[in-house]
Amino acid sequence: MSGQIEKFYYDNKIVKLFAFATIFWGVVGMLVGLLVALQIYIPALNFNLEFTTFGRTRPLHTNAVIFAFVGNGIFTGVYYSLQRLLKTRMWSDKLSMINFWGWQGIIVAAAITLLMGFTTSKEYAELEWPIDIAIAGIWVVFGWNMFATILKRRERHLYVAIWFYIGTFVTVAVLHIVNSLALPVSFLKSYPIYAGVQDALVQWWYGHNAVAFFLTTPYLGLMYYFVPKAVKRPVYSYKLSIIHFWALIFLYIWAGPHHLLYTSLPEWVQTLGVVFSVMLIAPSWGGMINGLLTMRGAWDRVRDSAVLKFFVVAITAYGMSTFEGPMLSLKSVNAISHFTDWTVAHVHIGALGWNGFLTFGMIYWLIPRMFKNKLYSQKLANAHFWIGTIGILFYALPLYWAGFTQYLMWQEFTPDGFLAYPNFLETVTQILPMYAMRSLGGALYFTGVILFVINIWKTVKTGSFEANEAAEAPALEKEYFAGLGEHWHRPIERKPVRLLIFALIVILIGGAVEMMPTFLVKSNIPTIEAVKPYTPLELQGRDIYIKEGCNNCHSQMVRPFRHEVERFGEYSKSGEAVYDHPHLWGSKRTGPDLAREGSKKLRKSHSWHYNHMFDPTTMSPGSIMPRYPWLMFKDIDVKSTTSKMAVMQKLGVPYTDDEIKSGKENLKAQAEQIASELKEQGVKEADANKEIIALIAYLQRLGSDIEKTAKN
Amino acid sequence: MSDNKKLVDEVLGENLLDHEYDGIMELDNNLPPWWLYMFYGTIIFSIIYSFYFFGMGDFNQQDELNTEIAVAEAQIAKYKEKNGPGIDENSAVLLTDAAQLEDGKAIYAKNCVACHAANGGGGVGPNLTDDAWLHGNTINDLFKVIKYGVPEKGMIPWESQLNPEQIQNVASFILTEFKGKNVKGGKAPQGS
Repeated sequence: MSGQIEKFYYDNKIVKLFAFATIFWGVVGMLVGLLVALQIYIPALNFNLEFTTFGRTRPLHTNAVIFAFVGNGIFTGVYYSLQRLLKTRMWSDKLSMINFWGWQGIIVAAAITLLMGFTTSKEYAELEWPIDIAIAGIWVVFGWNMFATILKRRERHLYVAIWFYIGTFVTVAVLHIVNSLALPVSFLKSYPIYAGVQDALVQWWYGHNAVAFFLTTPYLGLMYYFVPKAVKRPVYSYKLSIIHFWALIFLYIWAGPHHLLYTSLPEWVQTLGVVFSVMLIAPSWGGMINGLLTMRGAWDRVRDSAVLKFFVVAITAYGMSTFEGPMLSLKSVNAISHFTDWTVAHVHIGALGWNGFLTFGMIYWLIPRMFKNKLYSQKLANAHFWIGTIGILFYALPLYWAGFTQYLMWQEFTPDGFLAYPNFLETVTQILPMYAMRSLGGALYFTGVILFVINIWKTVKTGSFEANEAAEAPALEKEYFAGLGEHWHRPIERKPVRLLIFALIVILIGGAVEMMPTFLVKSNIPTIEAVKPYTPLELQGRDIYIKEGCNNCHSQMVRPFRHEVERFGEYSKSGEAVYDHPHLWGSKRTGPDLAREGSKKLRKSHSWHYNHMFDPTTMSPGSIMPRYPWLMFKDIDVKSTTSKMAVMQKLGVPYTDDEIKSGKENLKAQAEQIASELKEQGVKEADANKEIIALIAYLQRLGSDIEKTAKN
Repeated sequence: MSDNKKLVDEVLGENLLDHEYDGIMELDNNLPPWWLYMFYGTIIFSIIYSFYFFGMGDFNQQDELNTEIAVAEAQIAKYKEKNGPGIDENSAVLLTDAAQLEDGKAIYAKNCVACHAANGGGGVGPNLTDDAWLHGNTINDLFKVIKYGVPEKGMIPWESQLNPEQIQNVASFILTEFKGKNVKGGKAPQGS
C-alpha cells in the first residue's frame, strides 16, 4: 500500500536561528514599546534628540513587534512544523538561510531608517521603497522554499496549518505590493501613487489585513500544530477547520474600511467595512473553538503545564479581541473609540495576549525538544505566565478607561451650547495617570519576558542541540485512489497549487469590489475647485511633518459630529485631500486634529508656531508634546524641490512645467516672507533657510483652501 | 488506507478521522450549532444593516450631523428662554465684582498668558498694559476682539471656547488689572 521507507533529516538549525531572533527582537521591540509608553507622558525622555522622539520611536515599536518579533515567530513555527507535517526536510537549506539573514537585514535597515526619519507615514508600511523591494524579495524566497518543500512532500494531504501558511503567503504578497506602489523621489524618499481617500482606503485595506494575515492567519496555523502537539489531543473538528478557514480569509479582506468610519471615505464602502467585520465574528471564533476544545480531556494538565497555560490565555485573548473588533466596527461604537486609546488597548490584547503568549508557549515547547533537554525551570515559566497575564490587564484596563474618559470629555457640551472642555489639552492631562498605569503594565509584561529569556538561556546552555533530526517515512506513490465517500475538501488538500489559486481568488474579491469603484467612479470623490496643490515650501513642510512622524499623534480628519465641528471646524471633505500623496488622516488623536490648523477658526500666528515647536509648554502649559528645537537649526532640503514637484506632477498633481522650474525661487520667496513676518512678531532669530519655516508654511495652509470658496 | 473501521477517541468517545499528521489527529465533530446560528445571525444582521444604510437613499453622515445640531440648538434655545439671553459685545459691562474678576484672572492664566504674558506685557501678542490699543479699549471692544478674534494676526476667535460670561469676566479683568499699568519689559506699543 505504501512506498518504500525513506530516511531523512529535519533541519533544526534554521528553526533555532529564527527562535533566537524572535526572542532577541521581542526584547528589543518591547523595550522600545516601554520607552514609547513612558515618552507619551514624559516627553523629555526623547533626550532632546530627533532620532528618539515619539514620532519616530512609535513606528519603530510597531514595526519591531509586528515584523521582527512576530515575523520571526512565524518563520520559527512554520520551519519547524512544515517539515514535520510534510515528512520532509526543507527543500533548500540555502533558501532557508537567505530567508533568515535577509529578514534580519531588513529589520536592521528598518530600525536605522525609521529612527533617521525616512518614512512613508503609512501605518505598518512606513518603510521606504528600497526596503519594500527587499521585503518582497525575501517573502518570495520564503514562499518559494515553502512551496518547493510542499511539492516534494511525503504526506499526501496538507494539514490545516499549511492551508493557513499558504493563505498567509499569497495574501501578504498581494497586500504588500499593492500598498507599497510608489514613485521614488530619491534613494530613501517616495510618494505613493494613491492620494487622499484612495490612499487611505488602500492603506487600511493593507493595515487591517496586516493584522489579519500577518498576526492572525499564520498564528492560527501555528496554533493548529503546536496546541494538539503540546496537549496530545486530537483537533476538535475537521469540518470546522474547513469552514472557518475559507470564511475567514474571504471575509477578512473586506473589513479594512472600518478604520475609516465617519471619514470622507464614500459611505457605501464604510458600510461594507462594517458588515464584513460583523460577519467575521463566527469564522474567528471557529479558530478559538478549535483551539480551546482541542484541550478537552486534558484540562487537568493545563494546571501543571506553563506551555498549555500560555496557549489557553493566547487563544482566549484571540477570542476576546476578535469579538471586540467587530463591535468597534459598528459606527456608533467607533464614533466613541476611534482616535482614542481604546483602539490601543484593543490591539494590545491581540499583540500581548494572542501573539505574545502563543509565541512564548511555542518556544517553551520547542527549545527543550531541539536541545534534548528539560526546560530549565517550570516554576520560572509559571512565574512568567502570571506576571505576563497581570501585565496585560494592567496594560489594557487603564487604556480602556482613558479612551472612554477622553471621548466623554471631547463630546460634552454645557447647557448653553459650549464645549465643556474647549481646550484639548485638558482632555489629555486628565488621562495622564492612566498612561502611567499602562507603562507599569508594560513593565510587568517585560519583566516576564526577562524571566523567559533567562529560562531559555539556561535550557540552551545545558542542552545538546540536534541540528539535523533523523526521521523516516514512506515515499509517496505516484498513483492515489481516494476512498469512497471521502470529504469534498480532501481533493483540495492534495492539490497545493489549486489551494493557492483558490485562496488567491478568494482574497482578491473583497479588495477589488471596494477599490475599483472608488478609483474609477468620479462621483465617489467630488472635487472642490478651491483646493489647490501645495506651494513648493508647503510641500517641503509636509515632508518634514511626515519625517517627524507628526501623524502618529495628530489626526487630520474632522468627523461630522457636532463636537468635532465645534472644536475643529467644518468636517473634512474627500475633495480636500486629492493632492495628498500620501494622506495624513492619522489613527490616533494624542494631540488635537490639525486638518484645519490654518483656518480662520484655529489659525495661530507664525510666532506662536515657532515658539510652540521650540518648546510646546511655553504656548500650552502642561503640554506633553516633545520639543522640536532641531527644526530651527536644520536647513530645508531646497535642492530636492524640483524632483519632488516633478514626481507629484507625474502622479497627477497639476503643477505646470513653469511652476516646477521656478519651484526653488518660489520656495525661497515664500520662506523670506514668513521669516520677515516672524521677525515683525518678535522672533528676531527667524531664518528663512530653516525647516521650521517650511513646517509653519504647511501648518498655516491646512484647511484654509475651502474658506476661499466661501468667500467667492 | 481506510479499512472501514471507525476510529474512536478513547478519552471522549468521539469519532476520529482516519488521517494523522505528525501524530496530530482530527475529530469528526460537526459544527457546533450555536456557532453556526451565530454565523447565520451575523449574516442576517449584515443584510438588514446594509439595507438600512444603502436602501434609505437620503440617510447619510451630513444628515446625521444636521439632526444632531438641530437637536442641540433646540435645547440651547430652550435653555436661553429659561435663563435669559446671553451677553454679547453690545450689552457687555465692565464688572467690579471680586469673584467675577477672580474668575477672569483664572481664565486669563489658562488661555492668554502664552501670548500676552502673565503680567500682560505681551509677547507673541500685543502689550495689554500700555496706552496703545489696536482695536479699542472699551469693555465692548475687548469683548468683540476676544469673541471673534483677529485671525489674520493670529488671535483666534474664542467664542467656541469661552462662554459670554467668561469673555466678560476676562475682559473686565484685563481692563481692571492691566490697562495703563505700563509694566517693565513689556512689548513696544502697537496701535493708538
